[in-house]
Amino acid sequence: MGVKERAFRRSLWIYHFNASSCNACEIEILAAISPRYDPERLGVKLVGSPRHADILLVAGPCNRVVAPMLKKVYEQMPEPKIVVAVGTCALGRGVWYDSYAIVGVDEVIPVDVYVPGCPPRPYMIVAALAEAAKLLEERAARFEKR
Amino acid sequence: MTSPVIASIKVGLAILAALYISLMSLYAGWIRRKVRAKVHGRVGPPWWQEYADLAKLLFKEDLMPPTANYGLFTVTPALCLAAALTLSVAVFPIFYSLSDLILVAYLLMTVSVCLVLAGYASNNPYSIVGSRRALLGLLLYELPFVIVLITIFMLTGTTNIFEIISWQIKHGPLIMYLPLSAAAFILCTPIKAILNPFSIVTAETELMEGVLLEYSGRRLAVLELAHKMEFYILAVLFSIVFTSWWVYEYNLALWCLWVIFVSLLFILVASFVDALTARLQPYKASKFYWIITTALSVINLVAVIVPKILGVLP
Repeated sequence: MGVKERAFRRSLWIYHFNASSCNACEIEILAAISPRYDPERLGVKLVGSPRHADILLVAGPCNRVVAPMLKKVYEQMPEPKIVVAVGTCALGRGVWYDSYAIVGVDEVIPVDVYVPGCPPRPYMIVAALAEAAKLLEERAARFEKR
Repeated sequence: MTSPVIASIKVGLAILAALYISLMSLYAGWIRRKVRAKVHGRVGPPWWQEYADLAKLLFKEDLMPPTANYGLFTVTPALCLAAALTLSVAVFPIFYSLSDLILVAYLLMTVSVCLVLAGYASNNPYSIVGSRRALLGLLLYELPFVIVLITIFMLTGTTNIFEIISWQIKHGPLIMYLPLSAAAFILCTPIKAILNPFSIVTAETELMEGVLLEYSGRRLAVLELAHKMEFYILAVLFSIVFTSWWVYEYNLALWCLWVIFVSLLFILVASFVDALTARLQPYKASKFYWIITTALSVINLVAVIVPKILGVLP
């Protein structure tokens, strides 16, 4: 394992995107970054700009209004990047599975890690971040900067 | 006059100083995060966290928004790092003509102005607000900072760091003579290094990192490094200008250890204040700087000038 992979594994900067979520997942995400779980031990840092981020945390079913913004935010992130979809809505549209207004997160952007639950428990989100770190490391090994 | 051996030793020392400042500034960034974690009751990141962050940013893709100004967007990070590296050589007494307080003040300002330009170059509404706040910050802290430097000049009769150190060896540390100026210098640090009570420039909850918003990859890494170096350089400058004393006369290594100790103490205190306070509104920050900090520096300037005019001090 080289310096590059190790750096990517231990430094996860997260951008959190609310794709028409009901805010339950947001509350659990905030609980996951609270002192009790302390993901800063793993190098997790919440950043305010998608340009700085390695991981995109998406919560919510993603309706038609939000879908272009979600795509835009995903495209603004520099490679290599990982998308973590938090909650049942982001996983399979949840209770809106046949709604006319809902597009679904994984139809707009490619999702790498899903976290089930409505809302998921904080430790599941932390586990998903650890999984994302592993994936990011693999992707970083294949990634060549132009 | 100087032999090539001494010149090459000096160049080696300069490279060592630049390396030391750039590595220690990241370590200081880790101290800041660790102190904050301890205040929260968390474990906090491991000690190599900041190095991993920097390495990761260097390996990431480098994006530029289509609305950005290409020239400025590319040049400002490089200029910022160049100023910070020159500064890290200038604060240590290595080259006689380079170690000058006026030059140090200008280079510190160059780093800040580069951040302002970086914000304007990215052409994002949030970064432009961040740049305006950074300009406001320049207005706020430059006046007391320059008054502090003038006070030092009035007392010691020189702006050269070599001369200031030898003055302190003769008369004792400057912090004993200029306690209010030292306080004003310390109060200038949070807004210069964008620490918490005055972190109005990159207010991460309102402005989303402000001036750094549109930067990614290598350019972000360079800007972050330069900004962290500025913080550590301020600590080193404080320890050299205000607290060097007789130890330098006996042992150079002891003096180096003393500088490291004082600068780390400075950073620890600044980090505690950063972790324990909330961000002030910009107008409250301006009130604070224009009234309290400027008053502190002016009082000490008057306290130095009046005895000089009366002929009490040489």
